[in-house]
Amino acid sequence: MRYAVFLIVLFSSVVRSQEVKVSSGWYKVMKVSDIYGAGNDYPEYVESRRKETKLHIKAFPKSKQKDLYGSFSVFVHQEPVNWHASLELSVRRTSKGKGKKGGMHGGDNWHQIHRFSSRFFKLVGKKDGVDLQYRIKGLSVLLPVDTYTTEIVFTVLNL
Amino acid sequence: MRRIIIILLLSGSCLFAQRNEKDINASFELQEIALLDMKPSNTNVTLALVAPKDSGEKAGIIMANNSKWLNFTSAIRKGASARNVTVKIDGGNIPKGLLLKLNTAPFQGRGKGVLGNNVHVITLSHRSQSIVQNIGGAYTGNGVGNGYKLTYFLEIQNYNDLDINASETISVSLTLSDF
Repeated sequence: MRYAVFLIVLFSSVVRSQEVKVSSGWYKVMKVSDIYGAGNDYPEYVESRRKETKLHIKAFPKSKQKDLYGSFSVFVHQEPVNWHASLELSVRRTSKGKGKKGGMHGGDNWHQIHRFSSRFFKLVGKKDGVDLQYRIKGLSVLLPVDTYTTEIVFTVLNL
Repeated sequence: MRRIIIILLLSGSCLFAQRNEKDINASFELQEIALLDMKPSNTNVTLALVAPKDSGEKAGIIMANNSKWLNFTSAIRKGASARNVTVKIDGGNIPKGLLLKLNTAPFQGRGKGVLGNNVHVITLSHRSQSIVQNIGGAYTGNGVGNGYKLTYFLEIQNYNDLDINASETISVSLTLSDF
């Protein structure tokens, strides 16, 4: 019984050791003006603004030491709401955000968002306002007219 | 007591676990599209009759730049009715004794999708007539060599009514629309 209590305490301390906040998502309306002349399809891909989403990552509960030296990994995956198999969504990091110390590794090239979670980038210490940009491929007039939506899930782990 | 401690710890860890995961939505709204164009777009079709060289022969017909390529882009809702391209004379009248006809060749080019079927030859009038039917979500490709090749030509219907000196400018409109 003591072991069980010990494991639960350990587990709860792991899941409590980081926090992520995310600003707005991306809503794109494809218009006739996105097609360059009758006879053409939409462009091969469409990109969002370079600062479409901001990520804020810090230790939780508050810990000065972890905010300075804690090692975090950001994972990303998608959970389709109304999606089409031919659509391919990617994300990339376009800034390092603000933080007192620590580096950031990866995430500055396009990273395809799958249904399974995959590591997007790693960082050391607390970061505010890490900018993210998105890219969608596969939008086409061949798809039925509809609004295609997916949930993008960011997970931060103390790894 | 131990059970209470375990339940408290479990509930605490569940509450905190929400903080390391956040989600946002990415949405892409595709709208209905019906775009139509003709290529080359800056040239008029010229059709003319010339008197026969010898009596008893048929009148000659001169045709210049009488072919155009129909390019379109179409996006429709799932389950929506297909679309047609229709054509009609918008302005002017065909000189007496003549018929203005339009041949629509089968699709050619690099387009994709539900591109429809051509209606081979029609006689143009002030009434709308289909020249391509059953278009779904599709694009033909842009420019000459892509889409449906349209060829205008004249036929003499009645020699008695012909006036070799008559001249007329005719406007033809094409529309991509739902059934």
